[in-house]
Amino acid sequence: MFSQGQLRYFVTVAEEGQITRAARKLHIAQPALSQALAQLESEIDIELFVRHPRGVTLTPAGRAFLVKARAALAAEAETAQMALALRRAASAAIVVGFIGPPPAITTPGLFAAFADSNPEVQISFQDLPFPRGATWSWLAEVDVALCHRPTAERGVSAQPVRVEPRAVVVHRDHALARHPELELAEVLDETFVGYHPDVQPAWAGFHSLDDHRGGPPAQLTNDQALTALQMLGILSSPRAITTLPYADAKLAAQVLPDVVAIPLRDAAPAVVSLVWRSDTSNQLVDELVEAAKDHASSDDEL
Amino acid sequence: MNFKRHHLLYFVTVADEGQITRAARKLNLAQPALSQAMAQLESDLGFKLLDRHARGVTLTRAGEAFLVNARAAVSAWSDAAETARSMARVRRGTIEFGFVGVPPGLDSPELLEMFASAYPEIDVCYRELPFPSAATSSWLGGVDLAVCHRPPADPGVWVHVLRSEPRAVLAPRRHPLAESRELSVAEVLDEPFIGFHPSVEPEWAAFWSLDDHRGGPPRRLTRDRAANPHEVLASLAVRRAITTVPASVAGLIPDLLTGVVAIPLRDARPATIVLVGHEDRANPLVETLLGFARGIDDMEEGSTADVADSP
Repeated sequence: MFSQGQLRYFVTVAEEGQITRAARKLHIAQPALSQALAQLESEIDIELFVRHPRGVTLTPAGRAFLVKARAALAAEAETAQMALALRRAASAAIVVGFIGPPPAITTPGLFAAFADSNPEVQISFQDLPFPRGATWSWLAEVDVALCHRPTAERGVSAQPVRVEPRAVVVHRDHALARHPELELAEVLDETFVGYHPDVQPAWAGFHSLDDHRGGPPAQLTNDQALTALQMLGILSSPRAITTLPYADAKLAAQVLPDVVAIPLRDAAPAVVSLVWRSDTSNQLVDELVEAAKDHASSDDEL
Repeated sequence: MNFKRHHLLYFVTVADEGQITRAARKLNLAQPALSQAMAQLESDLGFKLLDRHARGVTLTRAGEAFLVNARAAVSAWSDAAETARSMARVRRGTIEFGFVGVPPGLDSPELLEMFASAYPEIDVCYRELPFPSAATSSWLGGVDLAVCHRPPADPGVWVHVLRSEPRAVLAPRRHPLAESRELSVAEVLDEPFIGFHPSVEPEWAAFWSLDDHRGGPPRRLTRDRAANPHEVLASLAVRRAITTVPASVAGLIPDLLTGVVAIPLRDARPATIVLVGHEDRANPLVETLLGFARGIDDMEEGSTADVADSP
């Protein structure tokens, strides 16, 4: 009745409100997009859009169809992701996502031990942006992720790998930079780095110490931090501070000569964890989690 | 990841039927073609979905996991297609009106007759539906609204109650109970009941076997896999088993089927006959019909109130 491509075109035009802009986003020519839409409308025998000189708006039927078209595309994308995960499971492969520095730097012991005991396994690592939306949905890209524990959620399991203090990360020209150690009371009123609005509020809030303040900082920058690398870029100016798990903060200070990591004596610790979807069927995840339990009890990397 | 979308539907059907042969029949495909499609899907995906046995197929662990997503994708795509068809019908001024069981024109013609004369420009077409399976919004997919005994609640579906009716027992004429003029629940609970197809919504199937009174399934269900009212009647005519139906349906059956008798069931909880439709389809013709049905209710309530108020 209609193809995946047609639905994608329709949803993009509906979201952009303009054929020209949608065509640019889809990397196709504007007349081709107009024609594809007209063809979709004639095939399903519905007028989806009202055309104006300055753009298009959805008809009531178009609005109802948009909801269903989005759901159909999302369900298909999820099916494809699940298929990839199952294919990996069938071929002894595992993709480990991480947020922040690569696991090989922060947690070398665990992955070396896992690789040693599973020599036939193909393990690959994937850098993930900060968590956006539901945890189970961004986790679908990988088999398991290593990061500070995200918002607890049904359908998502977590295994702590290590508990570590938090540290303030700050440019050396910032007034706080000369302290060898800091307390919460000294930093709660500082200006903090702002996160992208889509980032999970609890995740963003953890880094700006909202858990201790009971709310957001008085001042957030206009930055829209979405990835760890972007965060490093933002921190290379003395405008604002953020906090990170201690190991991550120390790495940031090594990478950026102008940045220092200062232990935060009385902040609740970060719990760096393995997180995975409970519906995963990759046995290697179970094995990695078992290895993480042994690893956590040996505490060799604290 | 490249796989064909229609292969997902094939896979879901095979999983539900537990047999390639039965699934092929349901999909109107030749059995070798379906086997080949399943092999193709497995090779596209890169993992095995099915373990083949002499008597059918079972899902592998990966197949079980994939089934959840495949089912969701199939139902989301069909929902999008059905919504499009529903909107296209609005343009043509037609409503697809589904029914489970007896055609609504036979057991309760009033609402539809009145609606037809009030809105001659709206064309109502009737579709017989099989028994509910899975989520209500999904088996309701092909129609704009339907009349049936109340199905399990579904956030995607609105429900408008039309009436409550006592239930009656349907039994073959040569059944020992067939001579009774009236029955109580206690007299029939231990009888064998007609079995439903495993895909039929369990709560729905259970209601007709009186599980709500027994607190569990009957001691014996026949090996029938009835998926629609005709199959129930066909089985009734030849089995030594019973089932229950709403009284309005029971009133019609003996005229249609001489081998089956209907016996009032004195103390069973009533069946609730409802209109159900899609919460999110925003179909203006359906809204007109629903508004009309509500208007009739108000009139009836109003007249009852008048009677009650009069000295």
